[in-house]
Amino acid sequence: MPLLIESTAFEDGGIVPAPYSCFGENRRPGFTFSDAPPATVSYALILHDIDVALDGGTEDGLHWVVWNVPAEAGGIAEDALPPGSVVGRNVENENAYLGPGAPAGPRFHHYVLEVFALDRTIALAATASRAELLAAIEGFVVDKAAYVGRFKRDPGMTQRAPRDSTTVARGLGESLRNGP
Amino acid sequence: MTFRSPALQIAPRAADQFRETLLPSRGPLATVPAATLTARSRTLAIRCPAFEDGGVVPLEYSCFGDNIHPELAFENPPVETASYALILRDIDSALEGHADASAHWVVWNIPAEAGGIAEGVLPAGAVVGRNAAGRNAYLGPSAAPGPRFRHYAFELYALDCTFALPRTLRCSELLAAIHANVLGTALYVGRFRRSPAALRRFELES
Repeated sequence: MPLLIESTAFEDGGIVPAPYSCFGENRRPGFTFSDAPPATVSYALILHDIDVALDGGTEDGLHWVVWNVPAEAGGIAEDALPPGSVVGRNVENENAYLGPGAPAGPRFHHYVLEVFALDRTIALAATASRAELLAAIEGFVVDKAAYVGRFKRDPGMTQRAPRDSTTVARGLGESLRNGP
Repeated sequence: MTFRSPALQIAPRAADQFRETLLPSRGPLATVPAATLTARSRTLAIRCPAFEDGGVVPLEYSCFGDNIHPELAFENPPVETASYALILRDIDSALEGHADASAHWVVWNIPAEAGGIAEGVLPAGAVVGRNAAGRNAYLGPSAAPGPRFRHYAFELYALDCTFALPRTLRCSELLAAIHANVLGTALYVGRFRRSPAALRRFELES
C-alpha cells in the first residue's frame, strides 16, 4: 500500500477553509500519514502554490517546509508539530507556516502539500533552502504522496493575519529546539 | 532520483539554448521587454463542465475509459490573446522534477477565437506535441493501482502569437519556446485513481 495523506481540515482537491489561510487565523491544518513503508523514520513536508510557477517564476510560492517529523507521530496535529520537527524558511523568509493567500481575483490557486517518507532524519540547519532540503533527502525517499487544496481570496479578505511574533516565534522555537 | 521542485519550472539555461537554436526566425527575443514577463493577466480561467476543479476525473477521460479529453472553456482571456497552449500534467510525477515524463498532453496554436476545446476534438490549427509516452496524442489520467489519488493539472497559457514549431516538441521545449509570449495562465486540477469500476473495465477489455 502506498503512503496515504488524509486531513480533517479539507478534502483532497477541496477548498482550504479561511481559518487556515493567511487572511484568516493562519492556522496550520493537521494531516495523518498512513501506510508508510516500514523503513520510514521521518517525514519531510513541502507546501507550495503551483499557480505561481505558471506565471514564469523559477521558484514557485513556498508556503511551508518541515522536516524530521518522526514516523511514529503518524502525521501532524492541527496547529502543532510533534517534537523533533524542524520548520524551514518559507517564501517570506520566515521559519513559519504561511497559509494560502492567493492574489485578489476570480481564480483559485492550487496548493500542493508534498510529503516525503524518509529512511532517516536529516541534519540540516533551519536556514536551509528548499533546494538544500531536496538535495539532503535525495536517495533517502522511500515513498511520497501529494495532497491538493484550493484557495481564492474573497472580496472581504483584505487584512492578512497579523505577522505577529507568535507564528514566527513558534516555528523558530521548534526549529531551535530541534535543529542540529 | 531527484526531487527538485517546483514541478513546473524550466531550467533557464536549457530554455535559453532552446530559444537560440529554434527561434531566431521569430525575431530576437532579447528585444522582448522584461515588463511583458511580469504584467500577466490574473483573470484567465478554465471552466470544465465534466468535473469541478479539484474533483475526480470521470472514467471516460482516463486511459481506462475512452481516453478522450474533456471539454474546456477558456474564460476572461487577455484581449491581446492570439493563441493558447495547453498541457496536461501528472503533478505527483512532476514533483520529482521530470517535466517531460509527467506530460500527458502537449498542445499549442489553439486559436484564440475558439475560446476553448470541445470534448475529444481540437479546433483547426491546433498542434499536438509529444507526450511522456512519446506519442503525439492525449494520454488520459492513468494512476498506479492503489487507494491513492494522483493529481492531474491542465495548464493553460494565453499567448500573444502563434508558433511554427515541430510536432516532435516535448513539454519542456514548448514551455521554453513560449516563455516570453505568455500573457496569462490558468490551472485546473483533477484527481484520478484506479477505482473498482476502472479496473473492471480494464480487465474486460484486455
